[in-house]
Formats: sequence, structure tokens, C-alpha cells
Amino acid sequence: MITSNKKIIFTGPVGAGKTTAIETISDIPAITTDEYASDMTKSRKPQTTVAMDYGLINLGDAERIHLYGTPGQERFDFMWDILTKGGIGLILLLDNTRKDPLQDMRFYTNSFREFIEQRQMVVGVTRMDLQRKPELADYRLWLEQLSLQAPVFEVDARERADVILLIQALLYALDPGVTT
Amino acid sequence: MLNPTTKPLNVALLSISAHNRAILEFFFAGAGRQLFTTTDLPQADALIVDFDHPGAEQEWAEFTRTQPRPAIILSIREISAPNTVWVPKPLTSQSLTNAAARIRALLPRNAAPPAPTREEAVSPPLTAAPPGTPFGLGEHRRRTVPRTRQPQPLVSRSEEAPDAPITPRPPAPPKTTDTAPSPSARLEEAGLSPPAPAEKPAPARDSGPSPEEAQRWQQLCGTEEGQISIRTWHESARLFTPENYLLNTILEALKLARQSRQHTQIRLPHNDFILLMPDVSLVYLTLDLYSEPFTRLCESPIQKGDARLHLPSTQEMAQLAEQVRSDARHTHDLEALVWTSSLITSHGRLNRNTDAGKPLYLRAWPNLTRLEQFPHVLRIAAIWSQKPGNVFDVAQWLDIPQRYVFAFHTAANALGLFVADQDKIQQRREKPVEQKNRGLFSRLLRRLLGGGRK
Ligand SMILES: Nc1nc2c(ncn2[C@@H]2O[C@H](COP(=O)(O)OP(=O)(O)OP(=O)(O)O)[C@@H](O)[C@H]2O)c(=O)[nH]1
Ligand SMILES: [Mg+2]
Repeated sequence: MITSNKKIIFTGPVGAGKTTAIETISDIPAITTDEYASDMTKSRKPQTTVAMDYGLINLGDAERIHLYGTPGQERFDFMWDILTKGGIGLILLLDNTRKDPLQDMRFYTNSFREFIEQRQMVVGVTRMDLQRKPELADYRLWLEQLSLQAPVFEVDARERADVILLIQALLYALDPGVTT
Repeated sequence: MLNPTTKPLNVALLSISAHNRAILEFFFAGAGRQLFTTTDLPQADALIVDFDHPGAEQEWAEFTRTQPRPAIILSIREISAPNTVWVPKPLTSQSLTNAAARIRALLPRNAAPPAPTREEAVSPPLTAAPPGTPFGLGEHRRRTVPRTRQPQPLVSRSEEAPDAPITPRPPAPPKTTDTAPSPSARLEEAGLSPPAPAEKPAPARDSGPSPEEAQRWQQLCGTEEGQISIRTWHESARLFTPENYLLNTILEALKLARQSRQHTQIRLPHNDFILLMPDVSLVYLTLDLYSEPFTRLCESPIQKGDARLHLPSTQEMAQLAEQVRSDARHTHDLEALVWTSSLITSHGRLNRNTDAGKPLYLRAWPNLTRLEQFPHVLRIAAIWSQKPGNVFDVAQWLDIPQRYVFAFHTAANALGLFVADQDKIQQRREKPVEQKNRGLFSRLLRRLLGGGRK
């Protein structure tokens, strides 16, 4: 019998690596609803998630951690409280090669503000292998300006170790007393 | 809140994007499962219509002309139409809950659903559904993407993807044309290579460290098990004098590089050197950062004249740029150099020149995906970000050997990550730590770090 179901939510702009990150650590093939982008003026990649991503980490028979990825297209239709109920925390992935990563950070932290304040956020900046600026120091400063306390790391969503570190940081930030 | 003994309302989603449908169905399958279940149009007691969806209003009008039914209208702008309840966007779970109650009042009496038995009212939680049905996505909408990663074109900011076919799936990802230099090309233009994938030692695992890991941790953090206290630390033997080590020269070079905004070289014995590139926050070393020779260079006091600062001339820079370009493997983040050389120098000891008794907190976490790790490093970062305290407090809070905290303190201090300002410390609001998930978190971490099934 399943006794515990908790979720971790991945969010961030189009192409930041949400689907990839979930696929990288999920026990089951990630279920996603990727479709070929139809709006080419906005699209920077051929495939985008139109609905949600889903992955799973099994912790024995009785427990599982669900991984949800929000669709990357920016919409104002929903307050994300609909998604975040019962969530452990939020992983915000930002793509360093996008036009205005600060604006992305503002948008997502604003959308999830209440959840972040109640739980915890960790930020992963992807594609720093392609573009070095802005730097992590800039992201740290922006977070400070937004009055948010969150760890920020350079990550590659394709690297399992990087994605795991995001989750480790999330759990330790929530409770530094956790031991393994 | 809705009466929990009421059966969920059968609703059909009309004129709604796949994206919004998925989120609503997700909500109905989880937190909102007492409120609504989705069904096909003929069975629906009520409709949910997204008026911001193109053509929605017409579709709704046509449908209700022949088959009148109350509707929840989702829209950014206010809608008032008979037999409808308007829910403004952005939607919240609360507004949907309220709408459910209001729409019930609009249902014809005979259509009011019967009160269910107790068992019926308790529908299984969303997450107990078998894997593969995480949310109520219609089967026809779901597409499982194969796990194997296909090479994707790397589209940089200055490139727009050219028109890609919408359907069907193209045999290969569309090619992008290089209309502008790629970011890595830009780095190269500046005479630099992007940093090589970090070849840093693997992070701590639960299965116990390998002999190499254990040895490395000794180099970084020492082996001292004993404790010193806030009263006795300055007399203890567990201090180092930074002026005696290469670390000091590295930090001086960093300062010079940042102030002068110039590439700065540290010349070492045997023609080895370190080149700091402040504009891109990179560093190039002729020695491997994680090698024995570099460790030896950092761990023993350095002779005068063995590490000299030098600002390369334009001519020298051209040569250096060539060398850096052809040897990307030895390029690292500046922070990685500062971090690792600090740890080796500290060797689990305290910097004699710092006030170890002073409370501090971490302004930001070190970038631990690209820095060398050692035992407890994440927990130290976590607690020090949350709670101001001195090195002795932190070791005590976490109940870990002091050497790890001393090493962390030296390295994070060299990176400028601490705040020691008393006013700021006073203002810092502490987030209450919840321990209720400790067991679960610990199992999740063990599972992730143990290698596990994936
Ligand atoms: N070079 C590079 N590529 C990355 C990195 N992280 C992810 N990618 C690639 O970026 C592409 C986009 O990743 P996705 O996982 O589809 O992004 P997403 O966030 O799900 O995007 P949407 O579904 O459109 O919102 C994939 O091809 C990844 O392999 C990174 O750090 N560097
Ligand atoms: Mg996606």
C-alpha cells in the first residue's frame, strides 16, 4: 500500500530543461506531452511541453516521490497553487542563453511566491556551457533584490549528478538536520 | 469548502487548450477531486469553458442553444451571462471550489446528484493511481517520449529556429543556421575556451567513500577529531597563517585582476602558471587543479619568489590565449580555484586572521555542482544560510567534526560568501525548520545517492 506521496515541482521557461531534468532522475520513463511548437516566432526549440511532465522516484513499496514539470509557455491563466498543493518544494530552472533571465526569474518566483515562502525553492541555471553571462553572482544578487533566499547552482539538466544536487539542496535547505 | 459527502459534479471541458485542460484535469484528479469529474458532453451536468480560447464563445453559444446547461466561464475579463458562473483568471483552487458550489445552485433540481454512501465519497487519491496515469490526461493527448536522448540542435539566443514542421514528427531535428557566432564561439573569439566539463572528484555517496575519496577528504579537511572552543581557539594548534601559502597569492591576484580588469598571471616554479581571467570568471592552470602536484603546491608553505604576480603584455596575451584555447581541459571557474586551494590550505584548520568566534551567515550557497565536495558540505551550507552562527555553533548544531566546518569557513570566506554585519544578522528572518519529513527526506537522499535503480 502506498502510504506516502509527495511531489517536487520543476518550473521555468521554455527550453530550460524541465523535461530533461525529470527524465534524468525518474524511475519510470517520464510521461510528457511534448509537441512540435506551432508558434515559430516564439519557439527556440522544435519540441515544447504543452501540458505537464511527470516522473516518479520509488522509495520502496510504501513511498514515492512524484516529479511534476510545468509547461514552459508563459501563461497567466492559473495561479500555481493548483499545482503545488502537497509539494515538498520547487526547482526553478533558468536558461542562461535566454534574452532576459532576470525577467524569467521574476515571473516564476512571482507566480510561485506563496509556495516558495512556505516551502523552499532551489534555482538551477542551465546552458552556462554555452553562455557564461549572466554569471551566478548576478543570479544571487537578483534573488537578494527579490528578497528570496534560495540556493543557486550552475547545472546541466542532462547530468544526473547536477539534478540530484538540486534535490539534495532542496531537502537540506528545508531541514539541515537530515542525515543519510 | 464543499460538503464532502456530495458527489463530484460531472463537467465537460469545452473550448480549452491542451495546456489548460491538463492543468484542470490535474487539479480535478488531486486537490479538487471532491469537486469535479470530467466527462463527455452528453453526460455532463455542467460545462467549463475557457472564453479566452479562440472561438470559445461561439462554440458555447451554439452548444447551449440546443442543449442548455449551466457553465463555469473562465476568462480574464468579466462575463455575465445567464446560467453561468464567471471565474476570473488567474484561477486559484479556492476560486474553483467556490465556483463548484455556485454552479450547483444553478442545476435543475432533478439533476442534483444523489448523496453518495460514505465509501463512494472517498475517491482514491490522485497519486495512488498506477504509474502512467499521473493526471487525468486523455489518452489521445498523451505521448510518451522515448528515454533515449536525441541530439538536439543547440540554439543560441541570437538564432531563431527556422520553421519546423508541426506534424508529423520530422526524422531529424531541424538544422539551425549560424547567423551569429555561438556563445562558445564568442568565448573563443575572446581567446578563451569554455570550461571543460568539471573533472572533479565524485560527490560523497552513502555507500561509503572509496579509498581515493577518503584520502582526498583528508587532504582538504584533515583528520582531527578533537574539539576546540570559542575560548581556546586562538591558542590552539589548529590555525594556519594564510600569508605563508599560495592561497594568499591567489587571492591577491584575484583582487588585482578584478580591480585592473586585466588578465593576471601567477608564475610558479618549473614554468607552471595560473592565469586569472576576470572578465569571464575563468581560470587556466598548467597544472591539473585536482592533481597531487597542485595539492602539494597549496598545502606546504611557499618560498618567497615562488609565486609571482604578473600582468601579461598584449603580445604575451596572444600567446597565452592560444595555449588556453588548445588546452580547455585545464580551464575552470575562478571559484573552483579559490575553493579548492582554500580547502587544501585549511586542511581542516582555521585561518589565524579571522575572528572565528564571530557569528556569520551565508549570503549565497557555493556553486556545489562545479566545486569539489566533502562530507557534510551541503548541510553546512544549508544551516549557515538559514541561521547566523560561528564555526563552533555550526559544528555543534550539525553534530559533526569541527574540521569540516573550519574547511568550509575558509573556502566560503575566500569566495566572499559570508555576511558578518551585525545589523544584517539582526534583520535576518529565520525560516522555521520542519522536521516532520526528516525520515522521508533521508530515504530519498539515500536512494538518489546510493546509485539506486537508475
Ligand atoms: N547545452 C546544454 N543543453 C541543455 C542543458 N540543459 C538542457 N539542455 C537541452 O536543452 C533542450 C531543452 O530541454 P527540455 O528539457 O526540453 O526543456 P523544457 O524546460 O522541458 O522545455 P519546454 O517543455 O518547452 O518548456 C534539450 O535538448 C536538453 O538536452 C544544458 O545545461 N546545456
Ligand atoms: Mg518540456
